[in-house]
Amino acid sequence: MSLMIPCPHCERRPAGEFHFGGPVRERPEPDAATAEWISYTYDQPNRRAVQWEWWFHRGACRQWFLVRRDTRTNRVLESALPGEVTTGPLESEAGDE
Amino acid sequence: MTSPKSAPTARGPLVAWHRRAGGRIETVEGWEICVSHPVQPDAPRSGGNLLLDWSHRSVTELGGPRVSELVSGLVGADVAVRRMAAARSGIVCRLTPARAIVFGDPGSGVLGDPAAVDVTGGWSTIVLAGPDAINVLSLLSSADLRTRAMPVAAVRQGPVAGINTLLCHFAGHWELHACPDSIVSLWEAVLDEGQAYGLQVAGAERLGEVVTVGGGGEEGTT
Amino acid sequence: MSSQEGPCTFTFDGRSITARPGQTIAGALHQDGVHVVSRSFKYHRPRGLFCATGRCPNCLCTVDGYPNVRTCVTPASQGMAVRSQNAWPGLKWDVLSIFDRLHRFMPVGFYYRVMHKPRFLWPVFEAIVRRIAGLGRVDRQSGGSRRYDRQTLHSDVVVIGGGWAGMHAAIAASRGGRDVTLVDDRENLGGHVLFDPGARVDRETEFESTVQAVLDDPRIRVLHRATAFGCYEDRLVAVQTGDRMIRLRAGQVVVATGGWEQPLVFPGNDRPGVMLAGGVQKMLWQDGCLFPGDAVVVTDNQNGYRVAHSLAACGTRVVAIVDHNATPAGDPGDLPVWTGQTIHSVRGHRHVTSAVIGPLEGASSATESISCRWVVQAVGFTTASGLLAQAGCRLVYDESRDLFRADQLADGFRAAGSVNGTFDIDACAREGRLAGEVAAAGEGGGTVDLIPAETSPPVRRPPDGKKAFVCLCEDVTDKDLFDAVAEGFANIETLKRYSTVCMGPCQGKMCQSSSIAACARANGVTISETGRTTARPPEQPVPLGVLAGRAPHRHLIRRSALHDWHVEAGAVFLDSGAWKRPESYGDPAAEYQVVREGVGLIDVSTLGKLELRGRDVAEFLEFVYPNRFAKLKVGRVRYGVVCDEAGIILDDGTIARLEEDRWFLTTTTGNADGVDSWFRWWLATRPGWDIRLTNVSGATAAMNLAGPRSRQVLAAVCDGDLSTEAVPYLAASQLTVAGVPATVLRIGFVGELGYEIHVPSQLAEHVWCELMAAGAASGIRPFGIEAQRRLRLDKQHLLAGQDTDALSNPFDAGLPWIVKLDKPDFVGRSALQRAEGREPGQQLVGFRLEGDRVPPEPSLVLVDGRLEGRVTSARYSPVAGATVGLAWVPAELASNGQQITIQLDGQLVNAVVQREPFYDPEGARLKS
Ligand code: FES
Ligand SMILES: [Zn+2]
Repeated sequence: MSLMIPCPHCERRPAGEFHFGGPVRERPEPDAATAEWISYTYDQPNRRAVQWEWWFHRGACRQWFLVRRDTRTNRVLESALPGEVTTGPLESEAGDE
Repeated sequence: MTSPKSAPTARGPLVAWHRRAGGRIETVEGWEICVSHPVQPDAPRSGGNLLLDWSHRSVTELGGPRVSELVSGLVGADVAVRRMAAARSGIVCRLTPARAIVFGDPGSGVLGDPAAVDVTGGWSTIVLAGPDAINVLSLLSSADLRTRAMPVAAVRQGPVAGINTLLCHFAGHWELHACPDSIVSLWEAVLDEGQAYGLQVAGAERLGEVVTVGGGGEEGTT
Repeated sequence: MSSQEGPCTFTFDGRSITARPGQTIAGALHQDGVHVVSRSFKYHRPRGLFCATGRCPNCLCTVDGYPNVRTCVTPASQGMAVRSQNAWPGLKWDVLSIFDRLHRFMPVGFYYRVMHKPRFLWPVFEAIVRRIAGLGRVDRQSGGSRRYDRQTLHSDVVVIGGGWAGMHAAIAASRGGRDVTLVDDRENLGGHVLFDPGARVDRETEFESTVQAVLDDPRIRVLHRATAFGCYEDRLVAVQTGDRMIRLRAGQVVVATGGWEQPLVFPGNDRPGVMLAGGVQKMLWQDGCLFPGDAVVVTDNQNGYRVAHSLAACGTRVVAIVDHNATPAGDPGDLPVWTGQTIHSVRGHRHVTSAVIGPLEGASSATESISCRWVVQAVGFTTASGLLAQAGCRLVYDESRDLFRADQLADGFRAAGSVNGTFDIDACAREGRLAGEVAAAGEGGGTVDLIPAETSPPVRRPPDGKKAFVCLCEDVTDKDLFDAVAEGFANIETLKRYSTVCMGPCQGKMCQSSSIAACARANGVTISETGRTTARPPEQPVPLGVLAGRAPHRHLIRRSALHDWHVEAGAVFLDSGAWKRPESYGDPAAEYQVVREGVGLIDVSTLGKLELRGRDVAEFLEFVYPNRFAKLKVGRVRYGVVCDEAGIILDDGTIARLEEDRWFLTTTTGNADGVDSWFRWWLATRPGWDIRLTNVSGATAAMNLAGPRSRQVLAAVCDGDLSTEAVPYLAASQLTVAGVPATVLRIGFVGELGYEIHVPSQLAEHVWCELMAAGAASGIRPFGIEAQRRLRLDKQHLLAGQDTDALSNPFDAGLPWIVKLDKPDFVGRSALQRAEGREPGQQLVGFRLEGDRVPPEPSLVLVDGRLEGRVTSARYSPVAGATVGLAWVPAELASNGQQITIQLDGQLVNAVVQREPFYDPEGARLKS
């Protein structure tokens, strides 16, 4: 994998140094409906979209951070620290096709 | 309820390697260290490429929102992420906004702080010096070692020989800090790639001539 | 040119050959009159030098045991042993050339179509096919000693190709203030112009000063003899040079890889003596070889005239320049020109003896045979645009230039020179400069800027489907392709896979245009409609050793701080992930016994260890563990299981509260990094939490002192009250052990009184040795993980990952008490709540099997002959007097006294379920 991922702490590094943590999702409230919990636990979204994702820099700083990536082109648009992005960082962006 | 038979002596993970390689081992300030090796390589300024073990050092990890404050106290000013600076006795490496590592004695004030954890045995240090150090590193890591990307005083975390390593660039040498459980593998990998450049191991008595930046120079040579 | 001083000698199939300084192996062979260098892959036809520039399969030999060396670009050196390939028993009398006469019985796919029946004979056939059709042979002796390595370099601008365009691009990019890496696969910069004096006329000084300017520029790093074979994401260019692979990370890439001269397709086109013009030029001007005798040059452009003049200047009698055009494309001087004609075939077996010349179209009655030794073709180039295609640039067929070229470039890429189909030397320079400037500005990508060239569409004799080789690597003929299309493999991609055209060592460099043309013609469509096959790395053949690098020789070994002690004590090591752990010190049974009866010491430094500090740690632990921690008292430790949101067990370990806001956690060896990352993720999702996590796995070593006499051993090196009142079971104490500050956890994985002692790693050996010395009188022994596994099995203590898997939740694994569903929220609560109400599936239970036969893990648990469970751990237990173990069994069999059936050595044996520990069920010994 020669794709480069921008770590907020270590700058751009080959994707092999990282662990992919999936798209950012909102964890249901403890008393949410069972169906909602089941969907959160077992359904892995795999969308063609621009989305915020979790990445873990396992081979270096060992910190989690957020990456905004277009899954259609595999282009990485930006990265951010958790809590750093103020405008709904935990909301995946729609925009399929 | 008896006292221990001997005073505790600390030992870094490479001491057995040095002993097998014929190094002279002495106990200095509570640490068993390899003082010298049978073959004395040329000094870096005369073109020699040297590899040294500097694992006999206190190490402290600073964590949390107060790291800037603690670092400023040690260095006199805050240190940017991916940079290092000399403190009273030792070097402060800033890894993230909320994490810094102090190599060398940070002083009791810092050690008593809840944001500081003594991780002395958690980091071992390899010193690589000489004109070909950068070539050896380019065979072991995907790091961009050009001066622009990795100037003097730059600090970089990432794989070297597949081992998560903290790479520090000093004016006359490089330091590679890694977990002691992997340091023998790292040491052997550096030596292996260094073969082509005549890289040779040396004892701690040579640290003084190699390590020229910061307050840590004297420590290893005593 | 060469570091060698004088001539050298080497052997070719045992025969001694002399080479001039700097001469290539093939050059020396040619000069010595060796014209058959190899045998072809399928029909074993004799093959000689063809491209002479390292692009075709013809000159592959085994050099010093290293197969598939392109001898036409490899300098000869003293004492080399060169062997021909694909010839058995020898090059001159290759018995297998009988295949050549049988060719009509050997269509494409022959080996696959014929030899797989009868099926049972295929392995035999396969062995023979591999022997006769293989490409060289790996010499294990010499191969193993080669040292491959891998380097990473970074550069603002990478220019691939050191020809006229590439050199100008490098200079321009350097002038733009960038550091530049120029990758060139030859000995010297200059590309084909270097060997084409005609092309340099009027520019001799300019050429030399340009080469010098590149070499003298401190900002340009030139990699000579380096082949760029792949372009990957984010502009990673893979380069091979010798036994080294360089991963070149580029800010911008200029591709100036030029073109590959293309052959014509006519019967006999593979005979020794038929060559490409560029190769002839290189042989003449670099290798100093001559082409004695008569030559026919076939061409449709100026190149043909230049090579004809070169040959004439070196003493060859050029008997005809056969020009496809109606009027000569160049200045023939006094050489004879045949316009409007082409070559129809050549005659000769081991070497060309004559060429048959005739009109481009129409009947072959108008042909004429000219006797000659050499047939030189100069009929144009195809672009070397594979790297551009790999990078994601769009390639289109350019009608006017009659070639495929990039038209839309990928981000950060530029293309310059012949790779665009631009052949005029001044136009190449201008394109190079432009590309270099754009790259320096960091603005690669977009549409290709072409310097318009005055090219006239080439005049060709169309392929007619006769037996003439399209592909020299795989011996695929024009006729084979027509037949394959007729059989239905009409698409260029399926045609390639079926016929193997373009799949040999040249990877389509020699055959792509011809095969596309043949495919188009057979289908009756245009070249544009036919398209081309997908370009994939490697662009040039690369030894697997180069791709592997040093990796096979060097793998990470992790050693505990006590490793050297274990080595000296004669430990038998077990690989546990990257860790080396003592499995035993020679006698696991005795080690087991000493822990049950006296005292033992085991190194457990490989456990993951985390220190958490901050006000919100208790809340965090309540959230990531299913059990409770908020009320855990300072100085106490508790067992915990980490579950994911599906309620599946990820890991288990202990959680100690050392101070109000300071906690110490352990994880299993294998999950140390995983739990660290899992916890960090939850911390990242709640940036507001006041928690600092420090991974102290490396900083802390750990040893477990266990057995009824452990208290007295510890007391001997520890100032402090160790009575059960002061340090009870599940105490977490800060003690000074052998003069070293230690965290001591009174836990009992092995089922005895025991202390897990955590100390700074640099002092681990000191503490260990002091404990061993203090225990000498009590008969202390070190024990390894084999004894530990037996000991814990007596207690039915599970090993996460060994006894649990990706489907195990705490209810089924026999740990229901650990789940506190009355907590309002924790990771996995929703799933565990659902699991609690559900009909249970398999359960993890202890079982007792009379006798001392031990079912290996994982033996099957059968119910009425059906597979209903499995054994995850089993050992003989001296205290139980039987074999004991843990197994997953159906819920209805999971109660005390139930019989289960285990398959053991093909037999069925009965075991009895036992749900309480086999040893000390009340835990009296633990708590003593
Ligand atoms: S003749 Fe050597 S590769 Fe073509
Ligand atoms: Zn990082």
